[in-house]
Amino acid sequence: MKRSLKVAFFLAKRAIGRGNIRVSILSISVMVLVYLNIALGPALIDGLVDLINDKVKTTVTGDILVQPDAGEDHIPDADALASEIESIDGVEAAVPINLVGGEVRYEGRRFPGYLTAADPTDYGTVFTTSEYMIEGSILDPDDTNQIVLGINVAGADKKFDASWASLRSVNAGDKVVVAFTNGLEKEYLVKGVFQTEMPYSDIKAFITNNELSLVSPELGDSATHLCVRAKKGCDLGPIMTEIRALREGLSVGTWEEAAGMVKTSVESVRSIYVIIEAIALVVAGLTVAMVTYIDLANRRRQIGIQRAIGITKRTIILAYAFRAFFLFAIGTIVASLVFVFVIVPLERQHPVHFSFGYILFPVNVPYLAAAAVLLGIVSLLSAAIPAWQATRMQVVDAIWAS
Amino acid sequence: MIRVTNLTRVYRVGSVEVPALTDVSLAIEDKEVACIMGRSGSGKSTLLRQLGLIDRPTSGKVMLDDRDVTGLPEAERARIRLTCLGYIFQEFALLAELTAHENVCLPGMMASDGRGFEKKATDLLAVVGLEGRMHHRPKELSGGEQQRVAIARALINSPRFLFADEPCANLDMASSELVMKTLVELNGRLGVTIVFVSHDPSDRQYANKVLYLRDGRMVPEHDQAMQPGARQTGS
Repeated sequence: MKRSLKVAFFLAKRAIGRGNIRVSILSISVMVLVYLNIALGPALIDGLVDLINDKVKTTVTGDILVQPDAGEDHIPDADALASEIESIDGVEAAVPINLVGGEVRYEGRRFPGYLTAADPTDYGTVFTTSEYMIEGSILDPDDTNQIVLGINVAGADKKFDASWASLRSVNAGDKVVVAFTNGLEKEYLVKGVFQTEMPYSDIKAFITNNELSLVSPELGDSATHLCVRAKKGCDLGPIMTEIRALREGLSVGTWEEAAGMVKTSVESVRSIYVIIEAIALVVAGLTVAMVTYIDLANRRRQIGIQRAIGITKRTIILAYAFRAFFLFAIGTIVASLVFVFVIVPLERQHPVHFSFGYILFPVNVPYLAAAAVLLGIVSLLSAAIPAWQATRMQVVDAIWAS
Repeated sequence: MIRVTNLTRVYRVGSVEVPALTDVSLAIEDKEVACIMGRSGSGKSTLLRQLGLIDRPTSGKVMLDDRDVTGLPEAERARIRLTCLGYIFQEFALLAELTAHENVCLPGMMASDGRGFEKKATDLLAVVGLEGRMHHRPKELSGGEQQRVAIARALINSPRFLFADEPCANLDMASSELVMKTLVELNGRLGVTIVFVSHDPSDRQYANKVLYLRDGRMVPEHDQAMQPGARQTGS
C-alpha cells in the first residue's frame, strides 16, 4: 500500500505539474465557483438569521422573557423583582413592562392594539429601540401626555403598505388620541417616531410609567412581563433557573421561545438552501467526473501502458484521486481566501439590505469546513469512480483499442 | 524457462469469431534469445502479449519457470509483470509527462521501498547510451532514443524475461541496429531471456532460436520460407 501511495502521488504530481495547465486551471476555477456557491447561500441565511435574532432580542423580547403563569395577568412588585433579577450573575439588566389595551386614533384612522408602558431609562438598558428614532426624540422618565410611535403605527408619511401604516401620516409634533380599554380617552403629543425595521417592534406605541400611573393607577407596581438582557456569551439556562427560584408563579422563557414564528420561517428558508447546496455538490461532482472522463479518454493508452509495466489498478485509481484532491484543495483554499478576504469585507462595506435591516455575512468556520469536507469527498469519488471504470478494461484493450 | 502448451486465442468481432492463435506450443530455454517471425496477421504480437501477460488466451497454458500463469488473478499477473517480466512495445510506449529517467524509475519505484532504483535507472540509461538525455521528456527524444529508454525501463526490476514487440518497427536502419545490439548485449551481460517479434528476416542473426507463425499456427522454418513475400509487417 505504501508503494502504491508513493507511486500514485508521484504520478499525480507529474500529471499536474507537466499536464495540460489549462485543464488544471479550468478545474480549479470550477471548484472555486462551486465552493463559493456553497458558502454564499448559507452565509446569506446565517446573516439574515443573525440579523433577525439580534433585532428580536434588542427590540422585542430581550434575552429572557419573564411572564406570569397562565391565569395571571400581572406580576406584582415588578420593580423589586427586576432588581433581584439584575443581581443574578450573568444578567446585564431587567425592565418591567406593562401592556395596556388601547386604540390610537388620528384624523379618523385607528390603530387598535396595546400601548407599551415602561421606564424609558430602564427600557434603554435592555432594548436599543431608542437608537432607531427617525423623528423627534425618545421619552424621558418624567414625561406625561406624550407618546412615541413605531413607524408601522405612525406611518410618518412614508410609502408603506397601507395595512401596516395604520395612521399613515402621523409625525413627531402631531397629536393623537388614545382610547384606553378602561374607557378613558386622552390626547397625546407624539414626541418621536422610530423605525427598527422589525415589524414586531415597529407596531409599538410607548408611554412612560408615569403616564401609566395617571391612566391606570390601579396597576401600581405590577407588570405584564419583564424583559431581561444577559451579558454577552452567558448561558441563559442557569440564569432562567435562578429567576424561577426567585418567586413562584413565573413563566420564564428564552427569546427563541417568544419568537417562534421567526425561527420557523428561518428554518424553512434554511431547508430550501440545503436543497440548493445538494444541487451545487452534485454539479461539483459531475464537473470533476466530466474532467476526469475527458482526461481518461485521452489517457486510456497511457493507463494501459502503466498496467502493462506492472502499475496496479489501485495505484492508478489513487493517482486520479490524488489529482482530484489537489484540484479540490487548491480550489477550496482559493475560494475560502476570496470569501473571507474579499467577499465578506466587501459585503460589510456595501451590505445587502433586507426588510429587517442590513445583512452582514458571518464567517461560519465550522460550516465552511464541513462544506469543504463534503466537497472533497464528492471530488474524490467523482475522480475515483471513472478511474476505477477505466482500469477495469483489459490491458490489451486499453493500449490498442484507444 | 517459457513453455506454451496448446495456446489458442480467439477474438470476437460482433458475432464473428476470429482465431488469432491456434493450438500453439513452444518452449524457450533460459537465457535464450528467441525471435518470433511471420507474415502480417500471423499472430506474432498476439503470441507475445500472451507471454507478457498482457492478454489472456482463450485456451491453453503459459508456464513461466514451470508456473502456470494463465489463470492467475489480475493483481498477481500485474505483480509478475512488474517483477519478472519486461515488455517493450512497438510504439515507444513511454509516459509523456515523465522524463526518460522517471520513465525508467517508475516500475522500480513500484517494486521497491528504497531509492536504489534511481541509481540503477541512471546506470541503465548509460548502458543504452542515453546518459546525456536522462532529463528529457519523450517528445524531446528521437524514436530510437525513446525505444532505448523503453528497454532501460523494461530492465529496471532485473526481469527474468524480456519481451519486445517489433522494437525496431518505427526506427531507421542505424537506430534499429543499435537497439538490437543493445538487446543482445543485455542478454549476454545480464542473462535475461529475450523473446522478440520481428518482420525483418535479417533480425534472425540476433536470435539463437527462431519461431515461425503462419495464420496463428507454429510452422517449421522451411514451410515459412516457401511462403511468398520477402518482407512482412507486424501483426
